[in-house]
Amino acid sequence: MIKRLAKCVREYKKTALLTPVFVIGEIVMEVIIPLLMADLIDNGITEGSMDYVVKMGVILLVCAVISMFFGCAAGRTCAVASAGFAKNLRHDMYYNVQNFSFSNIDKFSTASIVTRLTTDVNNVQMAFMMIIRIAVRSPMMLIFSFVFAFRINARLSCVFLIALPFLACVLMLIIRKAHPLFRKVFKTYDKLNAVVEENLRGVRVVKSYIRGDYEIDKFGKISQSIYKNFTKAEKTLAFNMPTMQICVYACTIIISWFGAKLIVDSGGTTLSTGELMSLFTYTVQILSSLMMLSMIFVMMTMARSSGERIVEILEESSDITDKTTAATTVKDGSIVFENVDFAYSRSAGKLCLDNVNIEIKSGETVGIIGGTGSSKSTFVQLIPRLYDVTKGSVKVGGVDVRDYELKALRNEVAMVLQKNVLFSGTVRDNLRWGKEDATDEEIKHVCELSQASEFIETFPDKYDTYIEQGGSNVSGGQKQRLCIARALLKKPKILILDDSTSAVDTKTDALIRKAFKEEIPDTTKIIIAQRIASVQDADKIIVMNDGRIAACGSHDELMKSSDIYREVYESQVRGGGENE
Amino acid sequence: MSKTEKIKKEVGADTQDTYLESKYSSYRTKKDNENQVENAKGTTKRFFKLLTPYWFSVAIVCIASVASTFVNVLAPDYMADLITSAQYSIEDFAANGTHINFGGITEPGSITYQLAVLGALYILLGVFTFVQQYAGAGVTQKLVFNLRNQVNRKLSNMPLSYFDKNTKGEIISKIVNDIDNVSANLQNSFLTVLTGVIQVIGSLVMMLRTGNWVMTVASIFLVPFSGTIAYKISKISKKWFSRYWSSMGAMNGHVEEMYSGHSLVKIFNHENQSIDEFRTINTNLKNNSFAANMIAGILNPILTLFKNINYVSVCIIGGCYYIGTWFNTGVSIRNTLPIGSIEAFLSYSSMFTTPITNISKMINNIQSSLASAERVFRLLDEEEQTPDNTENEPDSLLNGNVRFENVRFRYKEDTPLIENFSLTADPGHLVAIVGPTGAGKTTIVNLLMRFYDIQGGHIYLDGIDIMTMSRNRLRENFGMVLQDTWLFKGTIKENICYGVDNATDEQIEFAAKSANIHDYIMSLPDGYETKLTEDGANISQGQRQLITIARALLKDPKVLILDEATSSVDTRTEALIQQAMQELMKGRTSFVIAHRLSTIKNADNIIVMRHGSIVEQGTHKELLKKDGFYAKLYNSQFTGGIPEDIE
Repeated sequence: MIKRLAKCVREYKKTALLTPVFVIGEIVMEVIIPLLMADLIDNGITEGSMDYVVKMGVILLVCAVISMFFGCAAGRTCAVASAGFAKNLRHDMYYNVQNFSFSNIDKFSTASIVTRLTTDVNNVQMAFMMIIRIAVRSPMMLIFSFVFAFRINARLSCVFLIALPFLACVLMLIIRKAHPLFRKVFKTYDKLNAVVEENLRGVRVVKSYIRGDYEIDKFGKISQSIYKNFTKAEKTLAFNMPTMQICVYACTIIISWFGAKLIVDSGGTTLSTGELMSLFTYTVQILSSLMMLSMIFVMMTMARSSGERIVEILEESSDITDKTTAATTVKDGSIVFENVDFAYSRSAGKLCLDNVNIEIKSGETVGIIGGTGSSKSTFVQLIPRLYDVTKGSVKVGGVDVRDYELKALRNEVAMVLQKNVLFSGTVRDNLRWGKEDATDEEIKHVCELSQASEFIETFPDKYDTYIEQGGSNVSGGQKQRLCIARALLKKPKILILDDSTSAVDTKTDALIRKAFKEEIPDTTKIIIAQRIASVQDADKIIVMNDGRIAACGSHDELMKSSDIYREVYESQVRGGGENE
Repeated sequence: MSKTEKIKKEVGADTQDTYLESKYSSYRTKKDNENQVENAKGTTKRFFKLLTPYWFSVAIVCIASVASTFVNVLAPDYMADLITSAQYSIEDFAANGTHINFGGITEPGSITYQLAVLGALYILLGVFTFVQQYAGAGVTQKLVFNLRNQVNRKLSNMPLSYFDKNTKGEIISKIVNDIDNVSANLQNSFLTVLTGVIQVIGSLVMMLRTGNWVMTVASIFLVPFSGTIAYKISKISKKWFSRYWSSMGAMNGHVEEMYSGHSLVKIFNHENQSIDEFRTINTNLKNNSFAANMIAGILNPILTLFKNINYVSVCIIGGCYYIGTWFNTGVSIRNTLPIGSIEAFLSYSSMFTTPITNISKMINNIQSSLASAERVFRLLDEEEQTPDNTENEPDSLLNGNVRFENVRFRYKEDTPLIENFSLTADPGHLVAIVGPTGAGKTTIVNLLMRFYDIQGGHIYLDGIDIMTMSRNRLRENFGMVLQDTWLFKGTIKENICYGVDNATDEQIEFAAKSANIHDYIMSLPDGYETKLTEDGANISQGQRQLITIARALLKDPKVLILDEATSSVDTRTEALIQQAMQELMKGRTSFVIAHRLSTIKNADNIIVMRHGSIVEQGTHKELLKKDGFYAKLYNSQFTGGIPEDIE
């Protein structure tokens, strides 16, 4: 995992490596300063040599300034490298996501992609900063301070050999106890988020089913679990500071006791007062470095799961790829399905499409009718190769769709989905998805065809009207008409409408169909619909049932030959016409 | 001209960044005005009020903090004596060749005694710190827990208009982020300020006690500078971090849109444009992240420099005092210092400086948690729905006789919507509400269920004014199926029996069968125990709707409301549902909103709405005879032809 992530450092490798260098410089200075300080006290002050004091003072100041420069330089390179690293990570992930095929997409929900790109990258970035800065700093600090302390007085410094393992053990125990609790808390936070969101979305349902108290309880329980675990974790952490303090102070007292003895016994020759004071500084430095290390350890384990989630995206590979000798032009809008079998996952036993054979001529209008779960949508999704067939072949313009360059194929196949997606941006922006450099006239024209111009014109800003996130400020029917206009702007050879006029009233629906017939006669039009009226006058109507083509023919033919078709027709007409 | 440039031009935004950020501003979790506190004093006061139930724990935390700080301040003084004693012993040794006696533990003034006192002080310090941390942990979390529940309970008492007015993101941000922000900074800042103030005062007193004001000044003269720098730099860094969060929000928005519209991106070959936009946001995010982290990263080295300068100056001036002359000038100093006091001053200097720089660093955090607290309080202060009036509370379920009498309602005071609306529906009647999208059909339902309160007239249920019974009692009588299917995370079974706690498996199956979803559920490997994902994305729209219908059927209500319930179910399934519904509607009053007129032809009363008001009302036959708007709508739908002049 680390290897895969490290690959993304790329152009920031140099800065990333420079940081530890600066950090070491900073540490050397920070370790030298107490040493110089001891010297200043022993050889300057206690000796009464003011010149020496001033000289050492100046040297100390210089060291302090150098230390600051190293510190700032490290801060800068660290920020550059970590921000750059995060940028590369996000870029690589997003790039890969763009190449996802639909079977990849089904694996990751939108929310999970968003979290991976934001929170997870953030965690990894923090960990990266930690590694190149503090993870270098703390052990270095520990080692340097230790060495210098030993140099001052090896026997006294043996205290650390007892204190360090003790503190390390206690810290380990605390971490092992608190860490799982924190993980639990973070997981519960996600749940809390989900419950709040769910409740906000379904506020009317909750109220009408009088489940307010139930939902409050549900929330309360989650909130309670956060409270309990959090408190437990924090109470465990409460041991952290006192343990640290006890270690530092125990060391201080032991060093004071033996140090004072040494000073007294030797008359200041083996240990001076100044040196004793430096030892105190080193005590704090050594033990707090260990404390930092333990914190880094916690951060790293937290970042690890984030790292894993990122790598998951980076290593997900698309299963739909272009052939090297791919065709780049689509001859016409004819479509042939030959013995097509299809299942969403290879392991699933049930086929969604079972031995489908159909031939559609270029320029034909084809209607598709069928019940829920009859695989109407699946059928049309194979045409722009959103999925690959499991068996058999789909040919467009006489060529197998797998032999086209994806881009070329999808340029000629326009599809209006059941789920109508508009993006935040103006009406014009949204329509230009179909054709980037479309002129205003072109845009107007397709809107007239899709019957969208009538309501666009009533907006105060017309084509510059801003569409909110998810298209929330236009109605369902308006959304559908905009989506149709967007598809038309592509001037495709094949146009697929997957139940795209369900929220449009019958009158407008009919107008749209009329416009199709008159304005784009050469385009193959495939219309999935629930209303017979929407497909009644198609050249060919396909009746789908349970993944198979149950019947195919014109309205009149089907009325004679297909029971299912007749049943649907009658149910709709009866609903509309009888009982007078 | 690239696409992005074009967008820029069209929107008139100065830069691409600001354009993209404003485009996705609704995704922002942290707002620009994050740190603005309108009433800092009031908020703080109110916040402390929240602490009152925990006064005991708070008192313990306070006492422990004060005590530990006190001990902390005293310790260097003892240390100083110790070091001085050691130094004297060296001098003694040099002068007389005698060793001083360490002395016994009971001998005041001896080194052993001093060490013992110091040890005792340190143990006390450890204990107090532990008590403070341990007691503090409980208080913060308990407070957050209560605040969160309070906010949640508040939300359930808010009128529906609140949810219609505020976005989901805003509300979630209040209940999760803001409360977190309060808790994250609460314990930290409170204790930092408390112990900081004591430590500053304590160390100042200890320094002044020596009577050496020159040394005192030398110890603290840099504090104003380091304090100001800490405050300024944190403020700048905070500003960059908030920019960082806003570009993070933009990224969030972009990814959410593009990923949920992935099929569209594919179909329209839009990958490159989408990557371009992403790259712009990403670069921007990188720059902000760099600036924020760098500024935060250089603060500590700078503060360390100040600390070091302080140390050196204390050492040098202390040295002068120790030697007894000013820099070899021969000007003698009478008030000399022992060597240990220099160490003590070093300690006090850092004790005085550290809390001040810490507090300066923290001021921004405190501000932002105050702002968060203020937002939470503001939510708690929002006007709730009018309290339930229960003067005519019915004892049992009603029969379902609904009567609207001269009802008046407007969402906005200046746009008339429903004026003088009257309608009677007897038990078992079917009332249909038809009309183009946006005509206000759902409003009638909102009023009937008291999601919104009427502004004039009366609505009666079995002769009881619905304003005089509790909302829950009223809603018990209704079953509702909406256009927006709402399924929650849980099993199919849990979703179906949402309204009824003690439903038996037979009842659940019966409801599912009536809604024609039983066979489908049984075809799933886990049957009724199949887990639905958050928004029920693992089953189709039509099936989701059938589950919500089964849910309504199980509740077995007196009044049924179907708001375009069958719009996403295909016609064949719809026909089957219609049959089940016919059965279900017997003996119940039903309100059906539909755009497919064929489904509501045999309604007892059809209300035709257009442009937000009722234009016609009557039975299908009456309305056809009238040959008005309904007749036109109906004819166009039935024949599928193109009438000339509708609308």
